Amino acid sequence: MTLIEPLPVVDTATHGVHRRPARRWWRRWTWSHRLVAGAFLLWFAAAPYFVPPSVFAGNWTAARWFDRISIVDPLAFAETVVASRHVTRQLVIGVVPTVAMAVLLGRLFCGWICPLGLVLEMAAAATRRLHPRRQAASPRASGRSPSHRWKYAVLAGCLAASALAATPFFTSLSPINLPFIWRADHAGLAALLLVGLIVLEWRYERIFCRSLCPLGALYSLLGRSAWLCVRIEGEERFRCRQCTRDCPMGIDVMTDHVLAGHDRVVDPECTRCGSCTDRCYGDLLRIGWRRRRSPSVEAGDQTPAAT
Amino acid sequence: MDRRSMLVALGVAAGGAWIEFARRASRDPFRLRPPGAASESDLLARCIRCGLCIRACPVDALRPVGLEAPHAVGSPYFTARSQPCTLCAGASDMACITACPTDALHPLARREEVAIGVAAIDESRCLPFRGVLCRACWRACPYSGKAITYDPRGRPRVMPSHCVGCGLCEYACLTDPPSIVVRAFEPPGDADAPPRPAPSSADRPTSATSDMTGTP
Repeated sequence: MTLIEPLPVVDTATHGVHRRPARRWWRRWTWSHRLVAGAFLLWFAAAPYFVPPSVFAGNWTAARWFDRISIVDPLAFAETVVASRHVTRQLVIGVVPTVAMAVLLGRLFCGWICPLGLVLEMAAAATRRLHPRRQAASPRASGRSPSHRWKYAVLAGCLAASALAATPFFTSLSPINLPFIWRADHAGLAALLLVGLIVLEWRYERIFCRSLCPLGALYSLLGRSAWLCVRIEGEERFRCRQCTRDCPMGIDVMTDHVLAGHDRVVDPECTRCGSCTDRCYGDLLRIGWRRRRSPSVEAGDQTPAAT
Repeated sequence: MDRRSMLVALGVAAGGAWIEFARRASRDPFRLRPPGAASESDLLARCIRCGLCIRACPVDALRPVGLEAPHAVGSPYFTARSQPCTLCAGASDMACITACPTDALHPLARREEVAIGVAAIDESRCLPFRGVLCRACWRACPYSGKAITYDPRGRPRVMPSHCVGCGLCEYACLTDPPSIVVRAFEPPGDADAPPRPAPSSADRPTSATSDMTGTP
């Protein structure tokens, strides 16, 4: 007869939580957003060769379906309105889909559509394998990456530049479109731009997306109160740091959102890429719709639960 | 916003100022813009360099401007001698105008309202002025009889009020370099250039070298 109950064995890797394994067999959100961005890239690159322009023509700046439905990038819209001091009905109709996407779904473009985001993300993944000491992405607050507020200044500067030059500034020289646009007669500059950004990636992770891209800044501003978000559900919240570790935008998900008691990632710069969602050991994160009224979960007991 | 962000913003705005300065100082060649462009400055302000017009052109005439002109890079133009604008003859609408999402290429009520430029004849080269019968430009012109007319001696004359600037004459001209050349209305970079003449302006023929040479 035993007088002392054996202590429960707590698996330190998962802190005693046995809802699911530490990782699914594949990181589904991570690969989903990469595949969707890749599909966009393939479509825009290949469509000129087999799709007639009466059906579809376009790229990330503007697109046209069936000679009727046009879709216009919001920064191109803003810059051309500022440069020409004139708005046309067709222009407004064209920008509605992209603005609606940003307002409802947040900064989704950067994670799921942008070709530069895809290229930089793959470069970052390669960098991590080749340079093991850079395993952890640097969160913004660590001081190892430039301030994310720069891109809002770049946005203001681009709008001012467009007004001064009376021509859309960022849109003309767009590093998002230029390297990938059909019939780019300036292929040399495009290649130089891409190589330069990838080299920067070695030193600073996603510096362009975090600190320089005015389109990202605009999408962040539009998507401040988006419905689609990374939801945080659960009372047992841990310091395993898996969510912060991989966030490409450098958001400190663990400290600023999970442990702070929010019910979702409230940072407007979240691209809903799902990197944190895939890695959460506690199965707390999920990409979904925000609640109408968002009560904060109390950030109470943070000790691991005994089974 | 912190100081560094302000410096970044100032830097980008300075880039815009530099581009404006470059635009005013530039000695760009005259560029023939797609039909529907109201003026060079209006096109540059509204064009978002999406390339949809370039893609839509059925004769593949349009090309994007290169880096030699940073204020105009990516905007569409065509070279009449390589491939002129055929005004989408046979179609109900011009493809480039239909494709443009920002109305940088304004929809036009009639093809006659197209105002790309005006053709001008170099009389030192033009064959009829040297005694050889030639009607190549007249045959190519979609408005022959109105835009290009012939005097009793068989020498061509361009009527600027009817010439739309499509460049079919320049493409068809037998001499090399061509004796009839389309010129855009205003030099690029000149924001204070006079506006394009309305279709009802004076019916004076144009000539590159001199005034009317001895005809009544």
